[in-house]
Amino acid sequence: MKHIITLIKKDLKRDARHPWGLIIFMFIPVMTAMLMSLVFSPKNDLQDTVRVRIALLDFDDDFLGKMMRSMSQQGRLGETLKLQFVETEAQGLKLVEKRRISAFIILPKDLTQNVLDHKATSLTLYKNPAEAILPTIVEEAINTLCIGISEAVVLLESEINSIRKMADWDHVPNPFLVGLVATQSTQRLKTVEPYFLPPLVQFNSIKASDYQSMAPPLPDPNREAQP
Amino acid sequence: MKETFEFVFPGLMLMWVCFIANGVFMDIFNEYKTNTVSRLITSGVSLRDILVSKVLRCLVICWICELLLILFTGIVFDVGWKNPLGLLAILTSFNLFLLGLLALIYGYAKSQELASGIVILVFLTSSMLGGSFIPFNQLPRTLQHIGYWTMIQMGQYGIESTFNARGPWEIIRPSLYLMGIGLLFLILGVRVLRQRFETSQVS
Repeated sequence: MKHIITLIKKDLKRDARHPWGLIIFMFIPVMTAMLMSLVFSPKNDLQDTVRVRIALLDFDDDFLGKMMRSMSQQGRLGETLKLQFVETEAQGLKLVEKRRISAFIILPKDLTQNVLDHKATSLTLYKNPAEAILPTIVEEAINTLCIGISEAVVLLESEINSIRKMADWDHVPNPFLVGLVATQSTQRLKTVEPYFLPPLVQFNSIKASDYQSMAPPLPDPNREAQP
Repeated sequence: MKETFEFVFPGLMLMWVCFIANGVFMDIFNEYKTNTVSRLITSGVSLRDILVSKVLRCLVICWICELLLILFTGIVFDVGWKNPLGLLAILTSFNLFLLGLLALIYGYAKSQELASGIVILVFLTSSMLGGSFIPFNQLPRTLQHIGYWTMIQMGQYGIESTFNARGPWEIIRPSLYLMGIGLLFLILGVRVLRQRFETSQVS
């Protein structure tokens, strides 16, 4: 045992004289972990950093196309979504190939008219294969939007027709007529309001560091054992 | 950033400790080739003592490296290391497993170069399957079943348990696994190494 301790001491003294090799080796995991943390840390300013870039080719040029354009310029959606309008399909595909956008959407000709006539129609979506998450988000959003548009058109068919006609007039529409359409739309929307507002299920985000303090206390095992 | 650092660092630390231990362990062969071992034997030290001292020196260096890394990341990156006793248990058992594995590989490999190659292959595979590179939960289920038994994953799970306050059994269980197999490997490995040195089958 004495020999073993002497040998260990001798070797450790020798190691202590040349520690730099070990120190450099020890810095590698620290550096790697630091880089990985910088890359993969969840950002607090996610809303500011995530921008979904989408190219849109609007063959419809009618109510629904205009509605989608205006949606992308309003509120939080406008902050997150950056819509780029293109004139041809080739132009949009070039943007996908150059990885400038996450997705490319084509609104077909007569989209609004077909929806109002209850004819099935479809949007075309090109996803950027170089990205994994954002194109999937766009796909899900488009799916939801399609369902929303279909339902909204069924609900507000006559009002949408009226708005379309008014938009095509050369003169400013009668304020009484505009008010009437608005009132009718509001009344229709009120019928479905109980299903949407306020939402029955909501969620709150908490920090990972708060998990422990938020966890309910463990039940006392002795109390359960009591009769 | 701190949370991600705490998540990725233990696996990376264990992986690099493996490579540090490998570098230190190879010293036995260098001393054999430069006749230091022969001189020590002539001076009355047994070969068994020399081998045991080399293994223990390797263990001490692993401890020092881990301690320095824990202190450094605790101070600089504010990593919330908890439960020092639990950490000591899991890291000691991890180091024993590591040294046992090294002794076994260097004992059975026909040359030092072959042993180095096998060690790198084993460590890298173990690190990949054990969650040093990719989060363990993201691995396919089959790979998770295999990776669960790697030393990196066992050690990482034990360290995570000290972070998450999972309870003592979640630290003791991987520690027992690592220590049990590690000691077995170590006894076998040192024995084989001793035989090789005694019969001069070292290249």
